Amino acid sequence: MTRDDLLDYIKTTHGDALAQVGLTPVDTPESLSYSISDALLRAGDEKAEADRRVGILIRDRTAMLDIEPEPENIQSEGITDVSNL
Amino acid sequence: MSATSEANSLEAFFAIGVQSAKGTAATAFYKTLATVSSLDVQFDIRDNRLEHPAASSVWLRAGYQTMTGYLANATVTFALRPKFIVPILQAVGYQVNSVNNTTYYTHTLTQGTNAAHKWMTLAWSVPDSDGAFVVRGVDCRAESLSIDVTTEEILCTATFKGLTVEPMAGSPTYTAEATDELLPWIGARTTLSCGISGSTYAVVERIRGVTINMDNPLRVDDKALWEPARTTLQRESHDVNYNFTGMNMSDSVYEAFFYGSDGGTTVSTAVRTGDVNLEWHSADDITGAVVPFRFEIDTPTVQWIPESGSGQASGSDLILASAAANVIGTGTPVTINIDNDVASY
Repeated sequence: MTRDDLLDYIKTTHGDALAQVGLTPVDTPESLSYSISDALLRAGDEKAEADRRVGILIRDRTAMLDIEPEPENIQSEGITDVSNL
Repeated sequence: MSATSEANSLEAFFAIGVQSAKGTAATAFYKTLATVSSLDVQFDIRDNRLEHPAASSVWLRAGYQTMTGYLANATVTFALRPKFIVPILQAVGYQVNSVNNTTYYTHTLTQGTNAAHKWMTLAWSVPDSDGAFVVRGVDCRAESLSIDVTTEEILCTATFKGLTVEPMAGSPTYTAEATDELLPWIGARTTLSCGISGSTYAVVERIRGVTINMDNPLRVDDKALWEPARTTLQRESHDVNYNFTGMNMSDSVYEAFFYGSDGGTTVSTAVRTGDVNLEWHSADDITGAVVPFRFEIDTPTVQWIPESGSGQASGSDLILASAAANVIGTGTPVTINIDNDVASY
């Protein structure tokens, strides 16, 4: 996948969840740049890695804003898969 | 609030977490077993102008100096163990790609672009008589990492600068470091060569120490108008070099260093290149696996600079030489492989 493809995928899949934590899904260091960079290191597995990285971003952003996460969103963003972090 | 604290340092901890985005603090941290740690504020202080007419022509400081900003300033020293070192390397700009080997994981780190250089959150817990307080540094990057390998231990020191210092918030999670150390007497130097092109000598002599230095200077003076605080810490460059010490001065080493090849007979000023691949292991295997924890650094192209005067005959001492090997930044200059039981970073 290209960087632009991955950004489009994240926008489509996680755009609403990102908006809930005040993030505009753009390819900048303040938003998705590192999620995209990390996902692109996983050839053939970019979407799964993007899901995981965006899930962590939403979790961290939620904690920073001190807002109540929506349980169904956490599940859908794969946040349960952070036990090894 | 306590007026004094008699809690000692052994109750402190230092941890690091990788941020998903700049400005968003990490909530998952890796703790280290540190020997030294700190996280505080380094203020920018503007000198007073000497203006006239002055309130006093005697006193240099007739007014208060102005604080114009600050940086987070942190340092940590720790023995090389298999988990914490990965996010430390990420703080120095390395990107990690993790592979599942079923019973253990291999994390391969290579230097990323400036744009991919992660921001980190540091956590420092300070013991106090009425309970510890935890501070965090947000939007931090590492300026340097040194890995000092002696015959006794492998000690690492990392220094950081950051944009924000504040109390810890929320309920962060911490992953404890493994107690297993990477030991200097277990492992291998898979490759260690030196010589001018076409005459490379495989260094087989005993070596008693090596320091791996990673310099990652940050632009700490980048302030701008209408910005009351710094907004970025760009990387200025990245450099890796080795400093080998206590190398037996054989005829082969002497000839490779000074004549450029084993068996050489005249001093050559041609560049001495080489390939350095070193690794260290833990004493015990990773739980559930049949391999130990492992740290490997591979640098396919180095330039050797022998340290003039380092090999001396003195009393009954061995004659030992020192030399630097500077990593040359082409292709993939540095690859670090770490085997541990962490699924992903």
